[in-house]
Amino acid sequence: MVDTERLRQGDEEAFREFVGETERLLMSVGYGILLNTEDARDAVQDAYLRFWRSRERLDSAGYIRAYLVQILRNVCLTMLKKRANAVGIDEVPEQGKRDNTSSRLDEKEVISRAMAVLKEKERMIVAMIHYENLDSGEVGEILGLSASTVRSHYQNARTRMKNYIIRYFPEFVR
Amino acid sequence: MDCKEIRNLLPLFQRGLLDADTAKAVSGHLVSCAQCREALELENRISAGLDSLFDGKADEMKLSGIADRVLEESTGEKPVSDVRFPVKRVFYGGALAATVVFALLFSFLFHHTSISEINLIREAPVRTALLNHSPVRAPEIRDIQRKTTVTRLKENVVWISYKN
Repeated sequence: MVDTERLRQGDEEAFREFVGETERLLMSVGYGILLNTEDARDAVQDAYLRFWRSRERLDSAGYIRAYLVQILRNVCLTMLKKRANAVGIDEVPEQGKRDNTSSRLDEKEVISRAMAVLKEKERMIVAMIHYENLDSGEVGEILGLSASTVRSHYQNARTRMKNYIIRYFPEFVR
Repeated sequence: MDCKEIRNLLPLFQRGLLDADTAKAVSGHLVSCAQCREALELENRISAGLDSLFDGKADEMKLSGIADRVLEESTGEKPVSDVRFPVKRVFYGGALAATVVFALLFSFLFHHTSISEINLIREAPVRTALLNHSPVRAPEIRDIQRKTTVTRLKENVVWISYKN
């Protein structure tokens, strides 16, 4: 782990190390929220820039990854508001309507659409658990939640995804 | 635990997020229940789909040189200080707020006594009378023949302006 004090003092080498350690986590969280690679890349770069500009505020006793993820989350939420969200969420079929194109969709597209049904916090948790292989305790540390709350969010998210898939993409279940 | 409870726990079971005792209970149930095993298969497919969703994008999402781009973009910038509201900013903000308050106060005080309005009152012949009821029902009455305008300012107080 990179020393917080070095980051506070503006050590560029420490920042490069820090980016190397955290960029995959950030990309997975960014992609989890935005469901769009290009937007996620922009959001992550913006988050690192904000983090670097505010480095003097870093609390040496604090958990830097949590601070960084919080910055990214705010950037992503602003992007979601500005752009009325990315492709994935726009393509979610309306409630009560079956999607006629469902038979043409591959598995990844089905999963991507099911992810889009989730709330932003649930998507973050799913992204961290699946893409980063973090356990509920680690995810909770980053998001400021207890491990049991993370497990509960994850359980709800997976149930909603499953129900959505069964309802709109029954061929996936067979 | 019944089948419904077991199925709710399957996503956690499958990711290894359950405590040892609950995991043991779930796996014991799965041995004897074909329907729950079928449900676990679906959960496995969803889980595998989630894993592959990101793996497929891993190449697209490589962020080569992001640290250098950030450092380049912030070259010459001063980092945001610990003090969120520096004294200077507070001073200028206070001065601006005070100016706005005074401007509003003065505009309110002198609004009804502009020079043209004072002249109109001075030029008008003054007649006074004590009235029980206001002679003006509408806020403003214009008498075209006498070239006067009667405006009710308060109950029983009217402002008559003449145009000669």
